[in-house]
Amino acid sequence: MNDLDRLSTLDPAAGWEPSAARRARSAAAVDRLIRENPEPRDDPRPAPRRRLVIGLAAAAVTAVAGALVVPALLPGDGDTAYASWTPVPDELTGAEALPEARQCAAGWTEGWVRQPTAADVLLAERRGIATVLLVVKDGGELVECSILDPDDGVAGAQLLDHASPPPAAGRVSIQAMGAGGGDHWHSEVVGRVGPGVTGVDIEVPDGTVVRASVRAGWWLAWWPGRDGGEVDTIRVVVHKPGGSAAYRPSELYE
Amino acid sequence: MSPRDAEDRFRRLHDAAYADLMRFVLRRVPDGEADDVVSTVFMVAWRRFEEIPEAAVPWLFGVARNVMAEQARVRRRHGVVDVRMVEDAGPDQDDGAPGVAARVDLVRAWWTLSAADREVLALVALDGLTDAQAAAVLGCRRTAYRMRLARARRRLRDALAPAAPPRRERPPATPEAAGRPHATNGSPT
Repeated sequence: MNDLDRLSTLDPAAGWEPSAARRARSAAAVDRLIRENPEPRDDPRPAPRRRLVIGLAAAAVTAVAGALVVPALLPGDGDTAYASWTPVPDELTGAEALPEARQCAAGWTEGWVRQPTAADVLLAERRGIATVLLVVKDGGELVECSILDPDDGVAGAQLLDHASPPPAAGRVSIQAMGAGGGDHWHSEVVGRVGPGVTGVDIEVPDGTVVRASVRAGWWLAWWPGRDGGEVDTIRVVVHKPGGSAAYRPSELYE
Repeated sequence: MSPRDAEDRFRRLHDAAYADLMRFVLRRVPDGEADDVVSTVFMVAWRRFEEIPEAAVPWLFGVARNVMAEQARVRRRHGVVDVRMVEDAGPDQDDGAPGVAARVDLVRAWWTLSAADREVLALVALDGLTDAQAAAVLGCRRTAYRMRLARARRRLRDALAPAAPPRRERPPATPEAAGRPHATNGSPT
């Protein structure tokens, strides 16, 4: 008997089977779910939504300037955003993320003159139902925008400094990192990548490895939890052809 | 797929996966919380129905893990989805029985591990997943999971290794070693 076999003898759920009544209650809950939500969401793009926004209350986000001003509020249903989160994102094309880009533009309080096009979306990723993207505003400025739950609209956005010099080859920088939320916290990080970087991962204290999206000289990631608002609790692992190196965030700030 | 087909397929998914999902959750949260977690998982699954892969169970486990982690964070508890463990042998059991002693040692060794190590081990040892499925639950590469598992197993073995026996003082082999006066040429003092 090896060590794993020995561990299996300590299984707290060994031999557990649901009673007929318990299984029936769960099946009834599924029936109710289907009845109240007749069609599953087969189009991952956001459905028409209320302009109810989750503000980044008490956020430690290091915004550069001109953030999307959102009133605070009622956090919508954050459960699904966090429950559906995935450590590895799906990359979206500009065309696929265009609805979200236009949603961000519509909510920008300081005026967003020109409707974004697919070409304005520099980077877009989806984890579960949440979309985060970098979109060029009015042909000039760069905005990072987060839509954690399509039913609740834009959760937050910030201007990035796209004129800052890119990092050295094989290195990345962090332009903004922080955490926000009310009952449900989430962390975000965004920065630039130097030439030769093939990937970036975030190692979170609980062992989760979050794969960042990397494109067009930028990288970003978000994950449930408040680690992004704490000093150097995560590690940023930069991958390049010659190997990988781990850094504390404090080593990477621009 | 018609809405009716989607509904039928979803109900079949529930019927097939419910028991495995409940066991996965019951290994990690008290019984009174498990139904709420499982119902949240199926709510998320219905919202993301078209994304559910053929291998649905590891996908459902991944969602359950996120739900439990988020609930733990909301309650200000540790963010890792830790695994409960069967109770140590009770006081009315025969403490002298070898099986009981080994079990107590195993439980004690288990709790010396980090929560991250326990989670890695639980997925294969308790939830019965393959390394590929476990990697999918944690959202990491399969090679990364295997490395983490190897390290966790090594730390478990180290924790289970018997302690080195205490060093006993041996009587000195010779009078010289004892510091006692000795006679030369074999003559007694």
